[in-house]
Amino acid sequence: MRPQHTFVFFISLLLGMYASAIQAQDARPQDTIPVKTDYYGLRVGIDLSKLVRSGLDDDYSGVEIVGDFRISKKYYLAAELGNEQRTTDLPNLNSTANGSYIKAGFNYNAYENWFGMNNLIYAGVRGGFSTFNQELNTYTIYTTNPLFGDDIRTETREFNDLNATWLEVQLGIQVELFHNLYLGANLQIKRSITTKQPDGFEVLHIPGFGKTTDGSSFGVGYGYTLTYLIPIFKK
Amino acid sequence: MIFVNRTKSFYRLGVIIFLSTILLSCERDDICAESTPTTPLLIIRFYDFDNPSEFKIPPNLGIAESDQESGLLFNSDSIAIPLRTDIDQTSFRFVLNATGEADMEDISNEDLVNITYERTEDYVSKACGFRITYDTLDTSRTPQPDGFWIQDLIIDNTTVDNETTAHIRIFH
Repeated sequence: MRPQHTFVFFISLLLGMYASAIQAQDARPQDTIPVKTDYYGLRVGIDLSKLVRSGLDDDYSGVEIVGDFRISKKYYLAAELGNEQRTTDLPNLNSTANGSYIKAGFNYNAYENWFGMNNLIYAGVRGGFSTFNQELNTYTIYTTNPLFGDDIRTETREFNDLNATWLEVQLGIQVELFHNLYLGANLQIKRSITTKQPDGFEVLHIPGFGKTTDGSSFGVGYGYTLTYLIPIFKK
Repeated sequence: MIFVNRTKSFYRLGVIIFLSTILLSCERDDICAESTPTTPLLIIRFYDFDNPSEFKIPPNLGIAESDQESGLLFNSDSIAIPLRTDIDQTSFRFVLNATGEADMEDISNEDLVNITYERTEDYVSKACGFRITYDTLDTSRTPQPDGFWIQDLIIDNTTVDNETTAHIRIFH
């Protein structure tokens, strides 16, 4: 929770930025005949939240490239490609997951734009696939009687060639800050489909999916994206 | 006016997503529940040597590692003691009447009990980490100048992977 406050501050700043950007657009004079232009193209960028978190959280480093491609008036092909390293520090064990993931699917834009604006309020679905390793750094042999003191093992054990698949629903917005530059925020709800578990241990964190929970196959996540639209054609 | 409302909807959605991400950042601490089976304790039951079907409490039984002064104190015919998880044997001092006072005649009697076993490491859970279970349990007793107070020792379970039944019976 410690670095989160600073993180929250940055996010508030970003939200403030795009809120004022929208207001600036409101103030535009509307005396010209509006020409409705739909931009079709490739939008690519990065997830800012993963960058910020990498800087603030010693137990996390990650990068994610995001992209979407408009295929019709309402539908966009969308994908995320990322790499994550996350250390899970629990009272009786400490483990680091490290790996890459891809999420691919589509977004449906439910927002009817006016006057050549190209904002999105969207719902999307993704299929996710991650391949990763997990290192067990330290662990405790748990005993209910403390007569002999703690038995803590520090020899690192590696669990390689793990993988996982999941389905994800995304809800998000994308706002054009400046010409062709978009700021986005989204919430992700994930449901684990398959997880290859290591022998004698357990997957604690899946890159792209997040931490696993005992007795539940659901996960949650979020993203704050900064993307640039490369227009390919107009309609 | 519709235009303004639409802009507001963006702002509202932004706030909802932002608040949700704060909630997502809160993590629950994982605490190992007491009911979770972790490294099992060794269960010993004490019987009357002269009347083997009757339980008999060894009074003020002090149990410590052979090279340690302090340990555990019991006044029960059923006790649970830990075994070392880092090596394949644990050497215990079983001291009867361990709390004998200084001005009284020393009525304590010490027996050395060495317990050997093989260890297996298991993953339990996120909260509890790992545990050890024991196999091929064996014991040996070393005579002390004051003689044995333990007259017989029977191993009923050479595998210690739960705490539901006694693993060792001691007759005294």
